[in-house]
Amino acid sequence: MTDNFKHIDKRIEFVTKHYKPNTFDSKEGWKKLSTSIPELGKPQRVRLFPLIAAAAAIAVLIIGIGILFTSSSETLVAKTDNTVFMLPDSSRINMQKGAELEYEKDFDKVERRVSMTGEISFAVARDEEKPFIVTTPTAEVRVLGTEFTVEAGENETRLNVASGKVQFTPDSPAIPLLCTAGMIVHYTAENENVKVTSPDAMMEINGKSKSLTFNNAQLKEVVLVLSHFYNVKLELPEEEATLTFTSSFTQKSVIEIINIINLTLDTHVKIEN
Amino acid sequence: MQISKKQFSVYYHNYYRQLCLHALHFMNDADEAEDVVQETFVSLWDKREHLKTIKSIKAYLYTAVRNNCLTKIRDAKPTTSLEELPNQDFLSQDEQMERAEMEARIWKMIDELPERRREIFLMAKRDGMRYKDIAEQTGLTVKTVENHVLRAMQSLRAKDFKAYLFFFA
Repeated sequence: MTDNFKHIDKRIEFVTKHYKPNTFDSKEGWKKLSTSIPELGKPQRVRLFPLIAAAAAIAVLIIGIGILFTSSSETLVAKTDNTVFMLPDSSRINMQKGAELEYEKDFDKVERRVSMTGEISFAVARDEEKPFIVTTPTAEVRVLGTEFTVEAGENETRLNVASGKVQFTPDSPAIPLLCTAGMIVHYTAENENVKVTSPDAMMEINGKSKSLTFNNAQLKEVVLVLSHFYNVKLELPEEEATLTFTSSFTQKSVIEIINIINLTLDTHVKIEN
Repeated sequence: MQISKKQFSVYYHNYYRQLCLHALHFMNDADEAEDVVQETFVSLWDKREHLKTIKSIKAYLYTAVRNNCLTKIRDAKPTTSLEELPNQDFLSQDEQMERAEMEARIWKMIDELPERRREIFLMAKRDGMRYKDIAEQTGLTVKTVENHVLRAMQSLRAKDFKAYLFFFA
């Protein structure tokens, strides 16, 4: 057989012939499936937070013996998968077993900051004034209002964005990465490696080996990464911002990289004086 | 081998659309294709605690969907003549997967076209309407209609292989 089946126009023709809006959609399918498999539908209900109860008991005890001690933070620990909880700002979280989340008592005074380990999905209530910030042992995620999941261990953080925009900043290299729906970021602290995957692009930054990989990445993202990675200011003409670029570099200077980009794409990226 | 609820959900969301397209090649009808895929997942769920060791859950699902399609076709028409069997072009399973993945991407890209453009594109390419008739029905000029269809085709074609073109083409 030939590679004929790969011919894109043939595939487009086949798909188009059968296309119906709102079909072949896994979210809709999952809803229907949940009616035939009821266990899938409802998240197991919250047998929640013995730790809070314990903390409360201790607090009472301490007050009881007359020492003034107000615990300044709350810690939530999920005993089972899909433990659902609402934060004081009415953001909702869904914690997987073993996940821990800590927030200050004055959680939503200025900004909304929580720290966590384990795996937690967030549906953040919108509040433009007070950014919602998730810190993990290795990175920081900053958002306004959106849905995303963070998995954090001691040495790595993984972020999965379901909707909206999220800014992800690993501790080192500290490059603020703007992530949109469908993007997955995986950061491992040990080798300072950040990998960003979106439905049609991939980008990997390694601080240890000083290497950069771009696969179908938009030029504005490439330029943002380069400017933080090499700590230079770069100019990118607006009309070239959405061109896409594929290549990888190890231990190259920023000038070399920019030359390669400009030669490949016929673009005009420049270092600002 | 066992599958947890969470793994099951991941498999479902990752493979649902491409399996639907795989099934579509057998069933030739989107609703029937979707039914087969749903049934396949229901039976995977029922068997989740008693699965023999499976090397690749994806390959397993592709095979299961194919078998379920063939059973359906056979049961619907007890005597299927050879000519009526779906033409599979003798693709290997890897090729069938690649084809379904490609088509799943295209399906999603059609989902994501701007609404107006998608409507016009479907009128032209799915329903086979002439540009002139689409123009009349939508109140647009023929030129605009043509433009929408071309642009739609461009975005469906382009995204797919762009990634490889820069350095390897």
